[in-house]
Amino acid sequence: MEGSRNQRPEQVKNMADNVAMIAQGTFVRGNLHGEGDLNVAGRIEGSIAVDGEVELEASARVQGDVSGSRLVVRGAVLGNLTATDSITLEAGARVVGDLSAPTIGIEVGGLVRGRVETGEASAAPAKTVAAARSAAPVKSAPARTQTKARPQQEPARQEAARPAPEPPRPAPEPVRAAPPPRRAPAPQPKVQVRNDPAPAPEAPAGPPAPVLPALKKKTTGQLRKRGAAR
Amino acid sequence: MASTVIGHGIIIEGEITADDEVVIQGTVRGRITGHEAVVVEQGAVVEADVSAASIVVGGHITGNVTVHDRIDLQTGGRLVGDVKAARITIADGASFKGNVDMEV
Repeated sequence: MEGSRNQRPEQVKNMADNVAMIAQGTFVRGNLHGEGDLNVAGRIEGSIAVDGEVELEASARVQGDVSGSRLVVRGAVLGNLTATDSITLEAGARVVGDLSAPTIGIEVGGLVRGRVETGEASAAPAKTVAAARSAAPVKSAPARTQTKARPQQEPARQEAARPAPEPPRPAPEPVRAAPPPRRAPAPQPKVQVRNDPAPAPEAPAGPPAPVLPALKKKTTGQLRKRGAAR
Repeated sequence: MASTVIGHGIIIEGEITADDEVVIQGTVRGRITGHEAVVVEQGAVVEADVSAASIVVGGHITGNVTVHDRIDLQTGGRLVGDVKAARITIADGASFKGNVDMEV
């Protein structure tokens, strides 16, 4: 009994020396940082900051910023990706957030919605524009899916995921990227409209008149909350 | 295949919920809920309430521990907190401070 019990951890230690692995059935809510590499196949709600390589498998779901020396993404990320070396989005990757690294690769089948910035942290805009154009077509397509996802996720205390809404706003810097931000904020009220009719049937006594003020109040409240969060 | 390993340079502040085995070599602060074994290796620091099917303590745990099966406190292991377990072993050289609640 003792022998077999002692062997198991040592085997794992040899296999994964200074590597953290978040398995598929594992859910981490909180911040993860430190030294070494990280392999994620599970879910993380919170920021990831390690100095080694971060690999997000196809089954990985990360809501929060991710930073490391080298990022390889095959799963879904809602948050900004920052790497000191490189970022590679492989087929199946879905990223809503900004990418920033000296070298960035997006393979066929990798989706990005956000700003892409290669080179130094404050790189020349020429490179940025070129990168942004490649990302721009993707923006318009998944816009609706993201806005649908956002209202569900925000109430779930995912503050770490909030940086994601930023991408549409900084995007206007390139002139051509201006239209998508208008689309992006627009669906938000629509989603609220969907939410409002739901409570309405529960209290049919309320005349239709309050619906409009209620909408305005809620929208301003949400704006304030967002402002306060920043 | 899939066990979760928190390497020895890694620090997690928050909550871990795992279906499979969790091996901790680094630092975890918060809460750990495992449906399988949780192995806290030598050098690991856990400042969290831990709930699991079984727990092996080779490192340091500060927090209350609830185990459905057994907890093994190994030599060099340190546990500060209350333990609720069906079975418990404390090896020579292990440190333990807290109450034990065994289902009698």
